[in-house]
Amino acid sequence: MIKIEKRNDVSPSIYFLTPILAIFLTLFGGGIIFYVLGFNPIEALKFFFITPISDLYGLSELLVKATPLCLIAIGLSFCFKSNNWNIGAEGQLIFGGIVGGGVALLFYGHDGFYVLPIIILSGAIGGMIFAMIPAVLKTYFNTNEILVSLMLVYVAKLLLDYLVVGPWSNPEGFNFPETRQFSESARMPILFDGLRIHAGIFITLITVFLSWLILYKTYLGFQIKVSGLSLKTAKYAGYKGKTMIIIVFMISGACAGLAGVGEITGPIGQLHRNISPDYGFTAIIVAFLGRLNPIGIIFASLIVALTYLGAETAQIFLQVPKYTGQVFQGMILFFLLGSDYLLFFKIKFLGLKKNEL
Amino acid sequence: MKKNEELRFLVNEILKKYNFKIDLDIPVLNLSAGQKQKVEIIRCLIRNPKVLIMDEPTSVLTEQETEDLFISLKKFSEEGILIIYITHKLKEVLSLCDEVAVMRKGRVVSVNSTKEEKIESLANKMVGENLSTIRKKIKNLKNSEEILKISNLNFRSDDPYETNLINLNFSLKKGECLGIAGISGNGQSELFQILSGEIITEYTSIKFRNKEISKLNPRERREYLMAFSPEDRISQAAVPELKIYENVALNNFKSSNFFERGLVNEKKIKEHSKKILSNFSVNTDNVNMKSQFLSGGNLQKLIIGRELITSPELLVCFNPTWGLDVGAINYIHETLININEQGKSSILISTDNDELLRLSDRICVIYKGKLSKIMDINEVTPEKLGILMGGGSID
Repeated sequence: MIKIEKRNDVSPSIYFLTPILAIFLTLFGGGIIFYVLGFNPIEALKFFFITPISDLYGLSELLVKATPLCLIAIGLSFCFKSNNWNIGAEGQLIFGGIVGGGVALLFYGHDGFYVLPIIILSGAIGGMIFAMIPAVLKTYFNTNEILVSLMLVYVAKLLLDYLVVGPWSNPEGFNFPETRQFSESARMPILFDGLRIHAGIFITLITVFLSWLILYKTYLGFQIKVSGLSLKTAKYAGYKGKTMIIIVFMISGACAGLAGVGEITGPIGQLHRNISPDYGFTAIIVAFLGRLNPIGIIFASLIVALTYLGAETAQIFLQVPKYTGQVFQGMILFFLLGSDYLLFFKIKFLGLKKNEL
Repeated sequence: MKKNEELRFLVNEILKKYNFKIDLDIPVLNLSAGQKQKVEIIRCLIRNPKVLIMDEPTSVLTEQETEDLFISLKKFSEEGILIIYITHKLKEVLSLCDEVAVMRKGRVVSVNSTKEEKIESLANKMVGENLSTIRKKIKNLKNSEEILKISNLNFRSDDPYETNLINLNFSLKKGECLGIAGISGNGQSELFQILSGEIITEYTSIKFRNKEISKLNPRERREYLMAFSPEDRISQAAVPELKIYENVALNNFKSSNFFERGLVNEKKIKEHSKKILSNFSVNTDNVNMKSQFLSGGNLQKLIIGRELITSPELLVCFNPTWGLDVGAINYIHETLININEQGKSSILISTDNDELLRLSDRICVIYKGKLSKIMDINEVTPEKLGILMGGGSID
């Protein structure tokens, strides 16, 4: 007989240490996979996790990847903390990219300091509006936000496809599925010559700080916390549940939209079919790995960004497909959920009772 | 395939034997409540039981369906099946059963042949005759002003597990405690939520201190000096994972300044929480402690304290002492009597008759979403209460 019991006393330090345990277990699991594939596990892990960040360029790339992940995950933490399951950040990122990109094309050839802020703002608003669709449908028509937000990802992707192939494709682009390169005024400033790290990182850091402020120091943050722990209590306290659902989705969508516009005005510089390597989905892992805590999310985004880089290096040096990166991301989430289960529940082995023999 | 046909044959046998009429090929979803119950009973009979235990089987049935059920049950017992029938409807007991046991607060208080019992005698045993001696002083509230007036309270729910409320009308005077008795599940929870503003109903009028408040949410009602203590102290009135001072901040009224310009004023909330902990003798002074570490009694003191420290004109509480030890119960009772003496009013929705008789100035009974007439405490007898709670009528 096995009995599973809930633990009542989970200490906060262990709560924040389990993600680290999950990371070690992932390394261990990854080592086994490499071994089975016929590689020296230590060597392979070194290629995966150390080589990519052993020079300045690598570190800059790490921050380039972590910037959108962190931004989206911070936004998602608002939704997840209040029990709203926004799975469609990828769609909100793409839609923010579309709106921001559209404005960038509108300003094609314009100079002026005002161009970039307008583009960034419109990207955030784009993501925000796109996130409001599942929120409004949830509050007024009782639909499931998981399904609606997920389905809208494909809507955004196909819309982007249509735009870059059709009306927005580069007139001098020999029918390649991409828009013009944005003008210099519409690009994020590069921080160091020769590296790709751009000013978007400041947007992310400011957002992290503001989120911390909202979540822990404001009435809105308190209401989000209470609703996440008990909807019944939130109702009893008289919080306006519907308004709050819409607000958290708006924040979350705006963050994803910012990430999208940061990508197209930063490293990419135009719109094409693949403006995001599933950042919106991977950010879900980042949010949970960081325990929905702004500081935790910063660290989590760096670690998960490393799996993107590691996959690229491993592809070059070990000739394994770059999808190994996703294998690692999957393992992190798996081990995190697994150790959480053991953290919140204990398993008791009871002897067989006589009548069961 | 063969198994299915065997089953159909068996079911048909039972249908014939007891004269049940059910179409075996339509989804259970589309059956009436009475028919669904027959499906349940058939499922039991297929296994040739010696004992059949039923818990409030008639609560969802119409009168005709109830009669049909009783005819079948009598047939079963003639065939030698022992039936244990759990109900609070005294009439059903007398018309159906041979022997009756009465339970009160987890104890069997009497076992007797039904021939020797009457509705009144059962009601007496159900409610208990030993009324508590510490009763509240009876006050003359005739000239006191009216503070709350509920008219035309109706509530229809789509959820089959909720009870509809039918045309409730009552009013409350300053300094009065109105007790609402009843067996749980007769609409108490719905009534509490309507009074607190968690459920907003159309057409209902709730006038509190001459202001119409029926469309206000709980937070807005608190501004008019109402306070609420729900039944579920662990997952509604408080959040165990939150610290004590955070739980105190749940009752956020305008003059509290807990949240100034949208920001959390932690210092203010903690000061306020400390005051509650000492004024209501909660056995800790650590406002940073998670409330899951408080015992039930201390948690309830914290909740009642949180609601009362704003000096509300009306406190609505629902089963404020369930599951508490005697010490905590007495403390809560004294507190509730105190607020009446200070001229504040209270509505006490409770399933504990001792508590009701101890604290109320007037009592009425809720049964299947309807309120009985309101009685003064000195005309209430356990017998009357028992009959009303079982769905009977007095006078």
